[in-house]
Amino acid sequence: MSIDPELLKILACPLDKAPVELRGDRIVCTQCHRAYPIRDGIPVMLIDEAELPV
Amino acid sequence: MTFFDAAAYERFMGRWSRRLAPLLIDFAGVREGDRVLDVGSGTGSLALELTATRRVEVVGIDPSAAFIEHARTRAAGRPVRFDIGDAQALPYEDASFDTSLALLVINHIPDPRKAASEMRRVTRRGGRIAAAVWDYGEGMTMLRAFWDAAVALDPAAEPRHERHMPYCRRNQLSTLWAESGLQEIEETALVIPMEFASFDALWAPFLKGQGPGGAYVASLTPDRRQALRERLRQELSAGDSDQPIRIDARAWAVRGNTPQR
Repeated sequence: MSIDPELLKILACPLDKAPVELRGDRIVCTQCHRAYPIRDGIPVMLIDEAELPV
Repeated sequence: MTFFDAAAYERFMGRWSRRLAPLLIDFAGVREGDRVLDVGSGTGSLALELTATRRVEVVGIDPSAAFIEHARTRAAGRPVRFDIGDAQALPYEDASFDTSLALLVINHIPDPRKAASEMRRVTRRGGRIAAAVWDYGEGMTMLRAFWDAAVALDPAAEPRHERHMPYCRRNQLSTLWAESGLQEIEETALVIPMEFASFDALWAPFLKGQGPGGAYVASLTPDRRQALRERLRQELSAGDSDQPIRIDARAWAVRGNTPQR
């Protein structure tokens, strides 16, 4: 899954606007730990589609 | 409103919004080297026009995966990338962009104030934010005439008339921009010509179920559909002969700057 590192610099959690980091095939909020999926190389940054931390 | 069929949307309205894109870009004053956010990027017309005419970097965001896929295909090889996301909860850090634009999307966002506030947040200090909406009640001739014809035949269609869109009149976008704390606000009319080879070429897309107009046509019996077709022909003063039609479509555009500090 190729995600441009430049992109991660400006991406933030849509809920709390905290920085995010790439973990495997997900983009994870460093604050609330919601995990946003990447589908076909496109980040799906919708709060409703995020996985909540268990 | 749900836009699920990107190709059908292109044939109905996308080809006209594409003509509006360069006018909005010029009015917004997008500069060389800018990083631009395209909010509600849809089928990608604004992002394509931006990168075709300027050395800019564009990020497009839209909630529809189908539209993003269509836009990404069109924009292959350009300095454009796309995210799936919500204009009311933008997934970007503060001050990430020089310019944020929204072409014909404000009326499709449930809470436009939240979207304007988010556009302000992700735009740097002293950056530019601009948007445009169709003048549904008047200068967007095709849709205005369509709904005037529909309501003349069926007064119950009145609530569906797109002139009831929350943002479609002069000064409405300026008010939204002022409420969002933007400065040096200016509004203008952007006008594009719409040409059709014949009245039927104008009418045909309404039969495809696209947009509120197409949905309304799909709800009619064949007789009433035919009556609406004839009424619209009269509204547009399109004669019986197969003459080309040229009408104007007007949009209102606003621009404003984020505060310097």
